[in-house]
Amino acid sequence: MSFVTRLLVTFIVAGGIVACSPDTDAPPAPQAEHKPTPYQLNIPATLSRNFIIPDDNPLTEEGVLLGRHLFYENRLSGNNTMSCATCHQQQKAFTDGKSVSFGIDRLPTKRSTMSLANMLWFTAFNWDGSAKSLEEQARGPIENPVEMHETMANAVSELQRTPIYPPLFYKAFGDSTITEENVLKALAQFQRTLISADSRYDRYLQSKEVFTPDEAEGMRLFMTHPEPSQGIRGGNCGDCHGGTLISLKGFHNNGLDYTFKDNGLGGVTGRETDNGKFKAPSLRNIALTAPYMHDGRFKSLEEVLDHYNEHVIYNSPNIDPLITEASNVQNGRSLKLTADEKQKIIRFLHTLTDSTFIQDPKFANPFTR
Amino acid sequence: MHQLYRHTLTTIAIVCTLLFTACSSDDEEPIVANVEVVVENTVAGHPLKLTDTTYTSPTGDIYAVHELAYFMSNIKLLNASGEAVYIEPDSYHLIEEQTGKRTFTLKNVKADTYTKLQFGVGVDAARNHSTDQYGDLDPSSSMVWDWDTGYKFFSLVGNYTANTKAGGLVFHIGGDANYKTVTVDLQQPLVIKATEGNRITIVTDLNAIFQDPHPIDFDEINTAMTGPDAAKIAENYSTGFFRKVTAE
Repeated sequence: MSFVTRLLVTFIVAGGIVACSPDTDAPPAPQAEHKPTPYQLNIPATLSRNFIIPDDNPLTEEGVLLGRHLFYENRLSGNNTMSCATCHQQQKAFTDGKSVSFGIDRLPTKRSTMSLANMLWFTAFNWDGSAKSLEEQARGPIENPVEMHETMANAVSELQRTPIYPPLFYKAFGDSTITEENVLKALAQFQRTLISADSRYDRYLQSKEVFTPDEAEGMRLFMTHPEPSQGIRGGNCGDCHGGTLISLKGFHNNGLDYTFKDNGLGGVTGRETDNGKFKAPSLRNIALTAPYMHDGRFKSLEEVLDHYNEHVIYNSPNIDPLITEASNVQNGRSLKLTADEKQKIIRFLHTLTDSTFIQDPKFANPFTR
Repeated sequence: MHQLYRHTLTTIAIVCTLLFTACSSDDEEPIVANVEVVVENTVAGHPLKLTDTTYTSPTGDIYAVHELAYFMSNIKLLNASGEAVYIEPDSYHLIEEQTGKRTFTLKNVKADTYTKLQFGVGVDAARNHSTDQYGDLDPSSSMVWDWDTGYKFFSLVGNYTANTKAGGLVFHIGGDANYKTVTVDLQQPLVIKATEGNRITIVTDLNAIFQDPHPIDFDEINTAMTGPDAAKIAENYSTGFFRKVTAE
């Protein structure tokens, strides 16, 4: 193209753009030096393309990196000895191996550390659903006296005095003055990137992996509500832990107790009919996250299967119909799986372990190399 | 050089045409409208309330509903001559009381006068056994069982007190045979005159699930998935459940 031609084309295109664009009387934008890079989330084939990221906290490379630092930052605790990662350890799928978690004052909390994976797809957090967003959730453990026992205000001022954080906050949020809100936003951003979908189960769903006959039968039992009149046997797990999140996100009383030391969801909603209900968490990486239940009462998956099969308290208030109406014998009062069937379900549960996830350097402590 | 110059002029002409087309709005364009579909689940004339409210079933049993969800799929709008003028592509909508998901929008509906709404309850066999994501079909959906059985089409979980016993209600209806096509008359035709403001309201009656043509007595049937009892529920949801459909 000749120079003249190029000029002509440029002129016409520019003219067209001006003609199409609305009048811009607004003052020119300030010199924008702060331009965080959008974070490219790779949504695995086995998980939903539908999820919600708050409009006021989009994922950015800089925000996620900052969140990762904060997740491993001891200054978020009262005596600077604990971070989120103290209880949420990557090699244990972000749990701590304890029945209940302990805070900086060596006091036990009343609940077991929850595994962190695929929270992008959840809208209620904690065992009792008390937080409706990850931003809201992050404040809880930091300020809880039996957990990290710190005030957000104090944590912010400690971070502000460091050399590393003000620039990291500037890059993420365009402001080197640290705020409580931005601390929580960054933690939420990092946690939204914790996606686990490279287990053998995921590869099986994509026909990239073969299950042993026991694993395949275990999966079928896991996902199936028994229907003895049809000769259909089932472990009934999928009624609450179904779908590829291995959680249907519900809250249920699964018949652990007749009286509740912890009301769970009922403590949040104030409704008597919610007492004894707890989140049915994702069972991804479940073989790594013992002990089990909200209070960590079961040491092994065998104990968990024994509970659901033999020890459910059927007259527990608000017990879930999905549990009471599940038996492998007609008019049966309990689940009535065989020992062999329970073992097969456990075999399947082991296929949910995602070794890529627990070794991913993107999720590791940024302070140790 | 001359040839190049002519070439350039042609390019400029094309660019100009494109720009004009992009900028102008053509008054002759036919209306292509959005139609909002709103579902109101009711029991005997009252909006359904979950968990704390009890209802009396047609056979006289007392029941409460904790969860109610079902798929409406393959939505079609028919005109007076029975022609499916509008066929929504990849049409799978989950209606879910426990999360308040009760509306969806039909897009690109041509201007016409529509007199009937047709849809499937459940997921058709072609899409029922895969993890592919179309509409609300989603492998992490609350309606997933496994990909042999496919999706739950209709899920009602609750409690009941009947004449001889009390306990839980678990109706998880699925299986390809229970996919039902429902055609309902609009009480007044949907006349598309503008791109927005079009609405179809579907009022259901949950008691119909336990009544017509198969009365469901909770003393005898309080759970069902894929067997003969499930087939009864499926027939019931394909008849009286979608009680009244209005348009505005």
